[in-house]
Amino acid sequence: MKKGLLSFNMMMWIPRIIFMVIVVFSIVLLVATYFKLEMAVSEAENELFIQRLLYSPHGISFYDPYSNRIYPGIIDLDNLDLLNKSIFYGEQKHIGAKLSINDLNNSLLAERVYNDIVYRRIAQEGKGGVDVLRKSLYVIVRNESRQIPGTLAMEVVLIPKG
Amino acid sequence: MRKIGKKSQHEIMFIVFQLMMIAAIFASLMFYVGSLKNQTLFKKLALSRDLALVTNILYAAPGNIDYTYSTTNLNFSEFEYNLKDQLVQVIEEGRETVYPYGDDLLFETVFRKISGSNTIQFQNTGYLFLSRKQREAKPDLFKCPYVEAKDKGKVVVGFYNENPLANQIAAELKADKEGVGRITTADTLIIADIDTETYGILKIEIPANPQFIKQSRKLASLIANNAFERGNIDYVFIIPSTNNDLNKAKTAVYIKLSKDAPIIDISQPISKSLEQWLK
Repeated sequence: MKKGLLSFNMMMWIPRIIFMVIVVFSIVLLVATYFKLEMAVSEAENELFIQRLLYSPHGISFYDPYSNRIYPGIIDLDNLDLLNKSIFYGEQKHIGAKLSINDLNNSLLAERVYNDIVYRRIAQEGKGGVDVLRKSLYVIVRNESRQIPGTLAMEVVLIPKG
Repeated sequence: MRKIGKKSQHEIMFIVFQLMMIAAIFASLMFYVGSLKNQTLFKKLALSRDLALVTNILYAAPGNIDYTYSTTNLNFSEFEYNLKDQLVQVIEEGRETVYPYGDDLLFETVFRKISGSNTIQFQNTGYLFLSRKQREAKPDLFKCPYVEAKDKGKVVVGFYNENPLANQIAAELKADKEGVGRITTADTLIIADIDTETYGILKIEIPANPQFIKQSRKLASLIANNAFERGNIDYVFIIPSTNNDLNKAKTAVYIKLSKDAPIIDISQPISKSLEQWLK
């Protein structure tokens, strides 16, 4: 074989190798795309936080000491301050919430913020990359011994954990 | 025999080289996919999140709950588990995968590190939250409310007719003992009586007065649960009562114990309950 032809053959290997590298990287990329390690649970976590406020004995619902039970549809204004004493996410502090309780004429009866630092930072500064859940419920508001029909508006903000 | 020319030798060499390259790339890809398949990170991430959600749900339960956690498609026992500093830890060879959960600071929480188990048993009894390896389910204990109790103050043990139960409770608590009619000042009042008409029953009356009922119910629930765990009491009742003697202190309980129940099964739990009551 002529030396020139041999060099030409060798030169032809370069595009072949480049093509092969592209194919290999494509396969690796495809596998990596389909192999997901992320699991989004933040939506469930947000919803769960609201349910916890309503159903937990250390939440905001009225506790009747005579029957020793919780009434999830009745919000006890005395329990609002219990919120920041009971539920604790430790150093993570990735959940914050604002609760607004109004009567049916839309006059504000009470407002509380859970995890103030997180809520204010996320909600007021408009920080991106957070999940927000807003929910409004019709409730009975217990203020001292009076019971007033009203609404409970909740805004829960959560920084998803990777 | 024909001799292979130089050109053919080169071509064969190229083909062999090509085949070797294909084999090497195929093997490395297979190795890459295989390593992904064997990775446990996904399992650990899934389990940490799932356990964190389960813990949140169980804390939110309005009533008592006894729940055994297990998985169907994952080998649960290949990792160790711990709930610490508001983090679910899934541990493999000392390396942790964590996910946060919301603790309840008003609960007394007991979490045990779990390894080599196919299940975790969670129990929420209102003031106590447990996680451990599967054991027998606890009896349906009394849930008790959150009450901020900082000081039990002056504890007095009262009686209508002097009886060994009141004596034993007073000795256990190192408290004053007095006939109920003569009690004038007490912050915490425990009236004790023996019920001669029942068997295996502990009845605790609490004041129906809205001012005192909450803290009294908490103490009664703790006494009932601690006595119940001893195993010699069949039934426990907590009843709001209009008995005016129970209004003599901020916190009051009237204990009636069946004559066949061991006195020590009540006196010691009362002492323990008063300590828990202050938490």
